[in-house]
Amino acid sequence: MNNIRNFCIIAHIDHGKSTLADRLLEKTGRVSSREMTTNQILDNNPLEQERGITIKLHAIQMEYKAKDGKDYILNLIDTPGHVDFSYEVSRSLAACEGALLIVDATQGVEAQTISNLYMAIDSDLEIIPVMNKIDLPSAATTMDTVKQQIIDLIGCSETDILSCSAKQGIGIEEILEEIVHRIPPPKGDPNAPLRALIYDSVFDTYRGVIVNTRVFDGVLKEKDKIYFYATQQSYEVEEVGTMHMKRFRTGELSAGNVGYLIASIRNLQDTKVGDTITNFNHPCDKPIEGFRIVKPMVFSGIYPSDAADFEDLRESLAKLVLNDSAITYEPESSSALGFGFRCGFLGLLHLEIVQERLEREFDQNIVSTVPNVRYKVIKTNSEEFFIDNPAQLPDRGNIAEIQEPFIRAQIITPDEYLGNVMKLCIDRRGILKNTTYLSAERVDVEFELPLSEVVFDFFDKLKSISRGYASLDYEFIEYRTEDLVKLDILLNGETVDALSTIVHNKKSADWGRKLCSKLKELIPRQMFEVAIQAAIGSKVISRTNVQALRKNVIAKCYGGDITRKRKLLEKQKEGKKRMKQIGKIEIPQEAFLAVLSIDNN
Amino acid sequence: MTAGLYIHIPFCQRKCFYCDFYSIENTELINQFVDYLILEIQQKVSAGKYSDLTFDTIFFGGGTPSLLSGTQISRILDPLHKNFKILDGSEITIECNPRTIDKEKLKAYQKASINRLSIGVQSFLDSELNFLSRIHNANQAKESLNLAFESGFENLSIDLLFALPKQRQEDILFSLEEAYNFPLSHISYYNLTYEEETPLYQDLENGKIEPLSDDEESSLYLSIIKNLEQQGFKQYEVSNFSKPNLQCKHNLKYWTDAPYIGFGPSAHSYFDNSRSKNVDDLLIYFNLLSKKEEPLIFSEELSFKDRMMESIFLSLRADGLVLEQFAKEFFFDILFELRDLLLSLTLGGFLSIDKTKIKLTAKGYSLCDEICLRIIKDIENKDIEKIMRI
Repeated sequence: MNNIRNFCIIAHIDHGKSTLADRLLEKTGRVSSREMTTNQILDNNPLEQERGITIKLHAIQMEYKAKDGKDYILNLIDTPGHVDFSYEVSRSLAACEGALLIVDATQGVEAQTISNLYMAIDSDLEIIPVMNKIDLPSAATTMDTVKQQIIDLIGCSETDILSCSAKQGIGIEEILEEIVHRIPPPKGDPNAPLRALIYDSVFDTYRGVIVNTRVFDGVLKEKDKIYFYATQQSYEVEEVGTMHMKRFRTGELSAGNVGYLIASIRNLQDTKVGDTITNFNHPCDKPIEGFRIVKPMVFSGIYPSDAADFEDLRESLAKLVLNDSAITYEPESSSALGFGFRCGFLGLLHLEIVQERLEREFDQNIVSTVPNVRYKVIKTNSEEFFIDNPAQLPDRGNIAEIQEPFIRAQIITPDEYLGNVMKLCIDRRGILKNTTYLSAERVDVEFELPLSEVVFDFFDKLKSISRGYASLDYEFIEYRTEDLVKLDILLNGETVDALSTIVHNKKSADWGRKLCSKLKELIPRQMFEVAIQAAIGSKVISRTNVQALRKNVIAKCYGGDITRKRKLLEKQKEGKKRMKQIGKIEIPQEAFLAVLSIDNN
Repeated sequence: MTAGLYIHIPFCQRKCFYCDFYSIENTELINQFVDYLILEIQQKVSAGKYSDLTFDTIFFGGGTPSLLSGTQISRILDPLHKNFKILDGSEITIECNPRTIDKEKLKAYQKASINRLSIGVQSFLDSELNFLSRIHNANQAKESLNLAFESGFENLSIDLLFALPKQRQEDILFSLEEAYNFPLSHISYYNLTYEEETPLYQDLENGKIEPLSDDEESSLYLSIIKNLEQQGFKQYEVSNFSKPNLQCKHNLKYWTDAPYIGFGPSAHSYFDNSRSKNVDDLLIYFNLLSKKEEPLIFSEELSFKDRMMESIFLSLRADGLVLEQFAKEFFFDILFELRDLLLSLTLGGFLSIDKTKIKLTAKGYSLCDEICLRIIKDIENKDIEKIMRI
């Protein structure tokens, strides 16, 4: 156990985490440089590579002969790189004894890094700070400031900070040496009953669920009967091993080590991240702390754009959930959109990823509704319940209170954009809690914000008002009562349920007006005039209309060229097919997301 | 159902800058072209495919067919009459450009049994003719009409164009008033369209001209329909108006599912559930015929769905969809199945429905494509495969 080191890498997007990981693998001979053809072996999902973020976790075991002449086993445990996945981060941190803190020498520390770093410090991890990208010319001028930031942040001395260029392969060996010397070996009792942590799991079509686990006490062996605490399921272990570039079967995994297990587990839902695995016959006395059931924070209706594809969509979602147990989906129906599903996501990024996967991997043509949070409704008869679709809100007269989730947002920004950031947060009903200067130019701002105001375009806005420099992290704090109302959209007098939103009363008039004019832009002229109204209850707060189309006819149909005419019509028909028909009105799919493209400021 | 013959004459003295029909300006090739056209007629005759058809219309279109002499027209008509079953009293039309006809030529056409002229007037305003780069002016157009009438052509049609940039209501009314001075049996009033690969389109792309808005075009169109109806020209298709019983029988074939056989480059045919098109290049046309190959560039068999879609948009753009005929052919009771849509279209003033027919109103013609698409989409939503199995 003394020659095992378990560590992870904490870094902001683009600060070079994946590149550094690639270099470590190369240096320890886990991959030859010849195999490094696709850059960034860890992020192997095309979506991950495109967006430069890690969604699924990976762990890789390396062997390293240190300068002290001893052989070490280094387990690199990957962490996801987005605020939507902070619980997953906390669980992979729990599997480690140390962390490399990677900071871009030209950019400095970002919010995501800080929140993950605090989590790592809270879990008593040994932090090794590393400045990356020191080869960049601009690093010469920024390096000292960044160093100071790191010192202020973790209270280390300047000599503790390593420097490297993952891209150029500079300083990689020093990092490996420091991992061996500074990160403590795992503690644990190999003779005690089995106690292991699930920090991730993936679904394999042939083998079922593959659980990634860290063993704290005891030994995990093939043919053992094991028991999962949270799900209360037991299984017989079929295969145990460690992760090299592929699975490497070892037959057992003992205290301190990291690896995988396969046990004919059918559903990903049966392996909850953070759950404890123990031996069925000799269970440990208590599970590992910190287990939580992950709850979706953001909801959106997903409908097939052609009603006939409902079953296809159901199957696709079912398959998707095999790989991503964080998604929830339940059938719902909308008078406007027909039959579809109300889906829950960890956050907006997660939602976007799922929508993209549905369209790309499963070839589904979908209409999705504006994302919303889960509201808590307290009725006048004291009945309490949650709704995750604005259309489910009862009549106003029956509602005593509506509560919405609030988050604590941590924003780190260069101080020249502080004013912009403050304004944005206050516009979004934020309450300023704290500001701390991390250095002369960098401020850490803490706001409490309604999650609903963050799920729209907050992140993009934050980026644009700070020229991309501000970074954001957030966590849920509590439900709070607010003056919320349901804003309905009526087309030709009929409420379109899929366009209803819940907004703050003081913003409703402005919101209604903007939404109406956005819809006017998006709904094409058609045979009949379309009256667009925004209403709260029976009170119309804004109206506009789309004038009737007066001409759509191709004059020429002569000389007998009917084929061309038919093809032109076919083309127009395809365009129409992408629209949802509600009564007499045809509505383009984008209209259902109109709220998202409204300029909030 | 009686069939039609179409002959495409791909020559123009000068190509108009808005036109995308196939034609070339090298008129020296006309004689050679007639030789090849006769070759194509013989080829189609010896294939024997059309021996069961009876024809009652012949249409010379272009291009500018009136560049051909009476003799050349006769050279073409002779083998047609000899080899195809063409009824006595058939409608035989030739399109004419006002600048290309004189008394002698018209006499010769008459002798060659042509009994209907379609004269490409386009406008009675010189400024508009100029814009359209026509080779004639308004006076020449009027002269040609007088000439045609004096020569004894009783079935006379003119083509007019609307929706020219900056065109106003009074411009339209001016041309119409001029037209009413002549004993016309038929008027085609086309909407100017911006066809890709025409110089007009280029000008549009380069911002040199500003097209009318859809709303402006629509008001012009509606006032044209109204004005023509007042003068006894009844609308029987999106762009076509005629005195009672004087519709262009040949053009009607395109919209009523009748067969037609086309000769000459770029000519279209519809026969035995298949549509085809000849090559639209004169030299390739020559070449293929010399090699005894069919001068086709394209042909397609129509599926059930294609036929149904065509039947809807062709009948609605013309004299209306005949309910019984449609039900028989497609096993679909459109009046019952689409009652909600048809009712709302009727209430909206786009359609009129009587016991036998669904027909567009003037307002409906202006939205013809939109309405057809809605109907087609609704039928498809009713699951056409299911209907087909019945």
